[in-house]
Amino acid sequence: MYDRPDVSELIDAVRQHLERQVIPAIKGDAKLYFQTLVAANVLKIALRDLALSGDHLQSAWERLNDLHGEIILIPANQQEAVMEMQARNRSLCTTVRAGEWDAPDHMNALIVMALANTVDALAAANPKFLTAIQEELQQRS
Amino acid sequence: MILDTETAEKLCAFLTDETGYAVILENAVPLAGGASREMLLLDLRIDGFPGKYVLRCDPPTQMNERALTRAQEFAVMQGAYEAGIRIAKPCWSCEDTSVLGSPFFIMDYVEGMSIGRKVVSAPELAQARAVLPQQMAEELAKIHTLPMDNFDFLPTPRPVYSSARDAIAMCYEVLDALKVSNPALEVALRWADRHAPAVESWTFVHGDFRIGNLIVNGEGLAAVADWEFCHVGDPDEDLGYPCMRDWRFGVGHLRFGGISDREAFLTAYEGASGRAANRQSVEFWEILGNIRWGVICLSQANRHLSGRESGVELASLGRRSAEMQLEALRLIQQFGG
Repeated sequence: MYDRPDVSELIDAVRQHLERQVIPAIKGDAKLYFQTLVAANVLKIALRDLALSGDHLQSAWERLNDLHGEIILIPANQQEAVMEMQARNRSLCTTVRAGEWDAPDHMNALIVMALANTVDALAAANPKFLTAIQEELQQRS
Repeated sequence: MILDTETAEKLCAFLTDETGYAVILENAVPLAGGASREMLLLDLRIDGFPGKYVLRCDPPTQMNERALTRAQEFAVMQGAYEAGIRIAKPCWSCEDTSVLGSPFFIMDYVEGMSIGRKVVSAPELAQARAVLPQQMAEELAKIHTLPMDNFDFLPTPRPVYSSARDAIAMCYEVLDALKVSNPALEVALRWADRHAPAVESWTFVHGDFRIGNLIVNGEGLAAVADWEFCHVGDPDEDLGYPCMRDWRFGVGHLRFGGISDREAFLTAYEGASGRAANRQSVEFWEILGNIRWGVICLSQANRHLSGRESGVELASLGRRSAEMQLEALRLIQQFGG
């Protein structure tokens, strides 16, 4: 629809600018240096988020279907799907807090689902953390 | 020099009032500190004698309503110093906001490393790491015997609440205020609510006792820092907290702060304090520590998102919450539900 660069390419251009031009030039200012490293990392998160969030929303939706044992179709419109997912999470959270999932089987299924969602979230936010913890657990077992 | 001439003069006038001597500020540079407090390294000449000091002052907004004020933190540090705990000597406290614009206190400068990532990995600190678990256990045992009654301002669990349930309630309040519906945090909190220790005996609790909040030199623990989250509660909180994955700074397989296994620390603590540490309760507090830090990450991000403060570092914390969520849920699974 628009001319290139596309949104990921735009973000990546800024990331490159920060990493190659700005960061080497501000090593003398510890606070600004650190904050700019964080800023460059935030752009990497944004890029992974753009690449992964569509699939992750789909998976989270299906996990919720499985948990409830129901088949609800995900809205075709992305924005609607996000809103609808939030609404489903809200009602799930209300029932969790009310103790409706306290039975061990339910609780375990809920934890397994929530864990899978956090793994997805970390694939976008911090894949290194994910790799490190997985390697550590493998070595232990 | 980070202070302008007028501010530097006001600071020196305050110190002259406090000490009765002529005070010259020779230099002031920012110290790498936490996101929540501003710290300056001061070179002062008091009555002609040069010395290094650290100034700690309030940022524009509070991170946590349960945090102590600078004056309260100063009082607690004085008590800890008098009790012989390894700590930077607190020197002067100022609540008059006309001096620096916000309350502050000044303490002795203690040389050493506090950056967690370096403490767990720097080759020159290898010997320090070997003795730190024992030293941390000894200092913590002393901290837990500080007389709570001397500090009537210390946050205490609300009536009818155990300190665990109080912390859980705080998490729920933050989530509700932020209008967050996060199933991972919600199920972890529900688990915590149902597995909170049935019995607690309360003591003085440091509340932020971990690698990263300690000044470490070649011989080990030089000073316990960051006293702003002191409160009355379950001392096992301070035993589980330094075990949290985030406070292992990348050395994940060493459960105690990225420097040793957990049992070495707990055994040393039991020896120093004469108090048995309930392993289950310590584990519970490690899990609750993860949950609470996961919740606080979201509220820190909200400081940026709400438009009150602009900061990419604050914003980025929102996406770190998932690390703590994963760790909490993983430990809950291990713990046996």
